[in-house]
Amino acid sequence: MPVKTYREAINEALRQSMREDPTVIVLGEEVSGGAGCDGSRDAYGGVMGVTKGLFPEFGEARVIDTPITESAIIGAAAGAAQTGLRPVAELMFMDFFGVCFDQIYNQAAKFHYMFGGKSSCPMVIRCTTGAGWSAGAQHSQNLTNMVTMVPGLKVVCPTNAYDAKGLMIQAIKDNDCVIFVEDKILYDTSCEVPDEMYAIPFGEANFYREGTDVTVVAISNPMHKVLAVVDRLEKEGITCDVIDPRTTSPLDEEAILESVETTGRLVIVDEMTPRCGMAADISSIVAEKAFGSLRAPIRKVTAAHTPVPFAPNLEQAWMPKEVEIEAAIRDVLAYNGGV
Amino acid sequence: MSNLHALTVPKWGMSMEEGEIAEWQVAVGDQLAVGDAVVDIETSKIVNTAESTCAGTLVRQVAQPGEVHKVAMLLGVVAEGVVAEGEITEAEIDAFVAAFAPDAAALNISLVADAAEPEKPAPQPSYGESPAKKATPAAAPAAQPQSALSQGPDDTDVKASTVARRIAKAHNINLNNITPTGRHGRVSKQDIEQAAGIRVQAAPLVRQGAGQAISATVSPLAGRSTVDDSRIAATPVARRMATKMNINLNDVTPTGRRNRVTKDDVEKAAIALTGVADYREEKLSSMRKTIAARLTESKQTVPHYRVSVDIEIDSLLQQRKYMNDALGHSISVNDFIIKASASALHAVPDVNVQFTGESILKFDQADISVAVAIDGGLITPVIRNAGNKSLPEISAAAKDLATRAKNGQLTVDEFQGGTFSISNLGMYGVDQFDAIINLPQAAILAVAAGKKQSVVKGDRIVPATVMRVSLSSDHRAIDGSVAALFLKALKGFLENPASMLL
Repeated sequence: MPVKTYREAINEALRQSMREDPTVIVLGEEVSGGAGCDGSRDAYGGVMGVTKGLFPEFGEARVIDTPITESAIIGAAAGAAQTGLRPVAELMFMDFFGVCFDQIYNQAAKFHYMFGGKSSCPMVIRCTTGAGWSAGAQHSQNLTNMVTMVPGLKVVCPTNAYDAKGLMIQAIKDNDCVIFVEDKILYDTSCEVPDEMYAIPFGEANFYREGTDVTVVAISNPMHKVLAVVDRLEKEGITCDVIDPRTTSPLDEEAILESVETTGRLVIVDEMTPRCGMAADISSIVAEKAFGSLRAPIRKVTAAHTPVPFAPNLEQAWMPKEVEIEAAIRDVLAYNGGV
Repeated sequence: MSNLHALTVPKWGMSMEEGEIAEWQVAVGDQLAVGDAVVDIETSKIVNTAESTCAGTLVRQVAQPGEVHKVAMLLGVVAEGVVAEGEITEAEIDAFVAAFAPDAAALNISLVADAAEPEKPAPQPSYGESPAKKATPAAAPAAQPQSALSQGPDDTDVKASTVARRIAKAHNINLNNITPTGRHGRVSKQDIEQAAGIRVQAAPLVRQGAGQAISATVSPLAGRSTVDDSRIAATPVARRMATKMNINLNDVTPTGRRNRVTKDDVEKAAIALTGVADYREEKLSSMRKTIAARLTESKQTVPHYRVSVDIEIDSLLQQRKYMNDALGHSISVNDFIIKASASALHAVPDVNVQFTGESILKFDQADISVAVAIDGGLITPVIRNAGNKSLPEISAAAKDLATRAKNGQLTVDEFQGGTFSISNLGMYGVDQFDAIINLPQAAILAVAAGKKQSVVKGDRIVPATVMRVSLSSDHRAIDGSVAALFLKALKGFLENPASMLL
């Protein structure tokens, strides 16, 4: 099976979906690049290069460069979705959701409900997230939790290229507004990705590893730190269920609860701030629904409760770290009833 | 399903790990009461009859004659009460059998090969693997019971959650037989648990330490504050706890936020104020229980008295050296003591007795129980008819019994039924000690270390290796003079080993 990067996998998903369905359009800042400048219509393919090559194949009617106005991009996409198109809108950074949040949570997320089910909103909002690039406090946040809490939105956060392609194809087919969260750090990671189209259903977690001692749930990029730690611990005979929910809304509660029932110990890792983040949310679900199975208090490993620092060393200190993940796993294993 | 019970292979003796099914004493459909003979099982040592551990109707004989089953594995299935034929379906019994998990922990034996351990998946090569590839099941665990739920076509394509698939594999359940109710029509963990009547949970935590034990009251101690503590900052739980335990918050060192007293702080203070030290609680092993019960009974019911004597063993040591060095034996001092005790019992048979309450049993043969320290306790293997055995025979028997005792391989008849006991602590260098009589016997000899001492002989002080022995006797059966006669005989034999030849 061919090996593709996360970036290539998303590009392929978009390209194949656009070939299959003429109502699929792509819009955003510089999704082709250099609109209005002769001979530079495929210059960028988006700030991350994900949509590169779509413009020559599908033309300006379906690959639309927009002004630098997030509210207009999302507003246009949400409107287009009402008219029968399936827009895939790109926002460079998830941090910019603030500019167009009304279009997202008051409009796109509510159409289906407000119009009594007579309307749907088949749109995808692509955005990038994650620290580690020294991109500063306004370009590094992971705000997955902020959209996960909104009823009417579906939220996807793939951690590998295979999932990215399958989930993007599903996102485009889905009749609700889907927030597709791409972790910047993962664009150049690669794995085997089939050439043909395939869809991964929402709300089905992926078990990266299976084990009996601890359940570790991780969202987005920190998953790869978790895997490094878990693989080291396996050499000591400590085995973990490593669960990637893949979509935070809908969330595969069942997979997490079942696993916790068999391990009794849970560590949750995300790169959000500790309060009201995905770790806090999953923690509350498990405490509520699987309390009797827990053999130790749940441990969260999250970013610090501060803006993301710009200085690379501080940024690294801010992010969840492998040593913290390892310590948390050892802690829940060593827990002896609070004695 | 709840009214089905498992009959399992019992553990007879420490060495038993498995047994061969010899013959069933009851047929399917028979009524059983607790304690009824159910099935004959042959171990490496004996044939014994397993008794029913529950009352009801035998609905299945799982273990068949000729088969070998490990301890704690399933023999048969008993349904509670009187069960008419067909009242409990075969499928129900199948499910029960499929779900049966041996109580390995209680028996403290390894069942790794048989237990339904979820196998670990092989480490994945890279993090980006596709979920599609993951369907490849690892090797099925060995020796899984077959059941109705096991049958069916390949279930690789049945949608199931990862955990559910793992449990199904561990219990040899075909997913085609499970009604899916999970998310997206998947088979969930709950579906399998319901169908098979099992519950899969994490291993319980082994709690250590005793910190949690502080709960009730701490008696008021001198020097404790009586000043009003209502203004001391404390968490509500800490304050409640302190009140209950009669602890003044002025006596507690606060470590909480904004210098508040926390629950932990109160607990720490309680320990400091009561001086409760940490300890670990260890459940009594069955051996420890037996030791506790039997020695308590002996010490409380038998009128013990002790008579001691010093024995010079230089001659014995010299002759032993010759036997071992020149003749190639490896006879220990203890072997001499066993032989001499048996000889002394022949000379003074009134010590070779047991008190029954109604009568005194007098034994002709000296069967010597020798106390052997083993992991977690002690055991007294018996050297039969030691008086008529040669020293090398005694030595070989003692070594064999001690080795097998330490390995837990003794059979019941090898450690029961002696007529006299010897406890030797000489190897630890003790000067003297008293032993508790090993019931139903009437006497036990406590042997201390042989040490070089100055001894007055005639009017001269000479060096000699002196060993003190104490005889604990049951005064109901053995009078002081008899005990003294025994010791005199014993001293004679040990100081003049050649006389044992007579």
